[in-house]
Amino acid sequence: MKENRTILIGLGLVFLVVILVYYLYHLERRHQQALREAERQALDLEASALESRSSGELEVVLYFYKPGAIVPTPDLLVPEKRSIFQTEDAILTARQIIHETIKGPNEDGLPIFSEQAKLRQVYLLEDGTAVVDFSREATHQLGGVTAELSALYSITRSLTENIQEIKRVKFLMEGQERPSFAGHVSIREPFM
Amino acid sequence: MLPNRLTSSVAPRALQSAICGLRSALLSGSKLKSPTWNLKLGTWNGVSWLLVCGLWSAVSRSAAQPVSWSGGQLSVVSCLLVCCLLSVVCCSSESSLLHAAPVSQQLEVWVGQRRYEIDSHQRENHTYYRLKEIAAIVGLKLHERGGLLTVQGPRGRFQLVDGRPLVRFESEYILLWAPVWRRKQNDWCVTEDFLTKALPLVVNRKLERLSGRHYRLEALHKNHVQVRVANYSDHVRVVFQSSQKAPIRVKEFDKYIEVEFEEYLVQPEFPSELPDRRFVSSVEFNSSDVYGTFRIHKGNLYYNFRQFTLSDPERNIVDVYGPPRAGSEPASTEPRTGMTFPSLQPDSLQGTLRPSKQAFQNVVTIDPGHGGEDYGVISAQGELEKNLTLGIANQIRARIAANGYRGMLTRTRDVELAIEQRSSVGNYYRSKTYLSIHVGGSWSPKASGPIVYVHKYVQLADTLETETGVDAGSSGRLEARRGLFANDEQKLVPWEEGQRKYLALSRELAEKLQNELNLLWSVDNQVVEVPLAVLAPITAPAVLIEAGFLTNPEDQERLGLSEFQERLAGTIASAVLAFLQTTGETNGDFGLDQR
Repeated sequence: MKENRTILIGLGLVFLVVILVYYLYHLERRHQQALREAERQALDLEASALESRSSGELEVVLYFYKPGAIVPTPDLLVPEKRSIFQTEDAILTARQIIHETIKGPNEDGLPIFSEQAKLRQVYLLEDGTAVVDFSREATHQLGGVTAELSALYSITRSLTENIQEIKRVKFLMEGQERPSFAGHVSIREPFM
Repeated sequence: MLPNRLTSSVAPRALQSAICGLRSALLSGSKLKSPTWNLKLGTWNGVSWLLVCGLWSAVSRSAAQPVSWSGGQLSVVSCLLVCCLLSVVCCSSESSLLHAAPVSQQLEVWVGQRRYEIDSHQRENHTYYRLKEIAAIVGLKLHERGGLLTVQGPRGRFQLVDGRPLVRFESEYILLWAPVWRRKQNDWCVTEDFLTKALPLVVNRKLERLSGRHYRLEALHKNHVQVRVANYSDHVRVVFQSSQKAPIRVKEFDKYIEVEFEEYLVQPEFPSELPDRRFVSSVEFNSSDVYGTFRIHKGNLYYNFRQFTLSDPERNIVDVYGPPRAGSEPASTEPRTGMTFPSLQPDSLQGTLRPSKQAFQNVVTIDPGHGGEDYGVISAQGELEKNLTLGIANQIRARIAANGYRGMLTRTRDVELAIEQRSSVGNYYRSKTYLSIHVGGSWSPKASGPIVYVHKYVQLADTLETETGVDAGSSGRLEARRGLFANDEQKLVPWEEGQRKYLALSRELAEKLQNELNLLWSVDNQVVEVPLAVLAPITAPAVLIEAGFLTNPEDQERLGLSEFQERLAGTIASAVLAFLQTTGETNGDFGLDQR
């Protein structure tokens, strides 16, 4: 009897703790979801604003990882054509190109960035240097010189080839100049 | 056992209040004050009361009767309890989430280390902030005319129209979440996304979202301050070279000398060189004020200091002197050490706090890639690059030590190192060679085999010169970096230019290693030139070895075998030793440490 009651109270307490933990976990997850949702909405908004403003479609060439490529030279990439909104603004075009590259290939190339990769900002300097600022997530899964370099080459090539104003690309990470992108390749100097 | 009457009346109340307490505690975190929630709370109170009363009466009745609980009853009761608690929590969590969106209504903007709070106003489910307050922080001029507000920033201007969710910037429109709201004459309100979408277009600053409603407004240009230390016989020279022309103030305090930079946010870069502890115990950076200050802590023998500036490139110099020696010869102008200044000839090292001469002789520095939180490549089986590289590096060290060289590891444990730290270990010990050991990873599982990398300097300056005029700024900066201290008698080499003199030797070493490793793998890979952050500063022949690809199943299997690891380490060690024997004789000490 007495034992039964203590067991019951004990059980109740355990449930309480379990539920509290679950609740906090749930809250955190919902919070994360809400954040992701907000980000997605912001992207959608950008796209819809672009759509309303664009004067048509523009075909650009994106670069993805060539299956079977080993040595990290500029030709370890495969081109893929994709259409984006045409705008007058080079920065908006650059943003679209980078977003599309992060989305991944539709054809036989391999992805260059992980899906969590985020572009923070693109600036265009007067001398034709595009400053591309990535979030830390962009380096996820970029193990090894080859993977890291392919990401940098891909962005550099697609930006310089598709946008006339851009002559070279300088990479930032979380708004800062870093010695290296994902631990190997130096990003002190712009790529071209 | 407690009397039944008491328990049946008091206990449910206690339980009920406990549940309510828990719920309110949970909810207090989200600070909601919504009328709908109060309504729900009322109905919910009734339901939970009923549930708890029923449950408790069942419990107390069974407690009164001397009936032992069967497994079935127990499970029914516990199920009820779980349901009750679950519904409490779910209901509260759902409704709290429905309304919990506006956590804090205030907008917080950080400028440097200063914090501003902007109050909000609610209107039609949107939270608005007063543009006036934002303008005061950022430095915008507002000018109202008709229903149109012109916002003038240092870089450009845009226009807002009352009641429309658009910002007009030059010929373009930027879409906002909610319409712009004109509260009254000269008092306009905007939503939060105005800050991120429109504001950066007209100000010379960058707005960064920290979290929630916290923003940081930062000057697009930071002041990168490089700190260098040179030790002389009677003083320590601390050089601050900043990327922006910023005024400085130097103040002396009891224990330290404070060097304060103004106007730009300071990003410090510290030297690999340690100051002579007799005069300067340490140089620290203090970021707690607006722009950041440096503190030069005085050593035991501190006597006085002298501050002056040198131009082209502009450097602020603080010389910290020890006590004047009676009848001493004029102070030597040669710095004692050549660590950050590889082209110097440090011919005497007596009296300094350097390690013994022996420590510098015949050192080969081996850098096991990654470590700590930085796992490097992760194989499909969960093998981590950081562990593999440390294992291989240890074996290389053992083999090199057996042949009369000293192997130095940049890390001997599972810790994360900054790239500069990795390079500076190599330079500190004046290594004969520098090996950075990595294992490759690729998006393509087919990629396999070893690749040896050498550093490549991006030929930016040359290409810039061929272009027309516009690039003066950036090439000028580069020239400044390259010709740093060029006018001085001390010819210093900038940190990231260390490898330049050794490119040919590095290439030679790389070819040797690549050939040997190709034989081990029976593949035909080539040496690759890539700008590599870790190798750029090394003042010795330096290579980065990617010993196979962890993303390739065959390579991964091989690398897991300890006998293959031994063979790999042996191959690398013997190639390095062969290189050292051939070049070491012809080239002496690579012009570094002729002692």
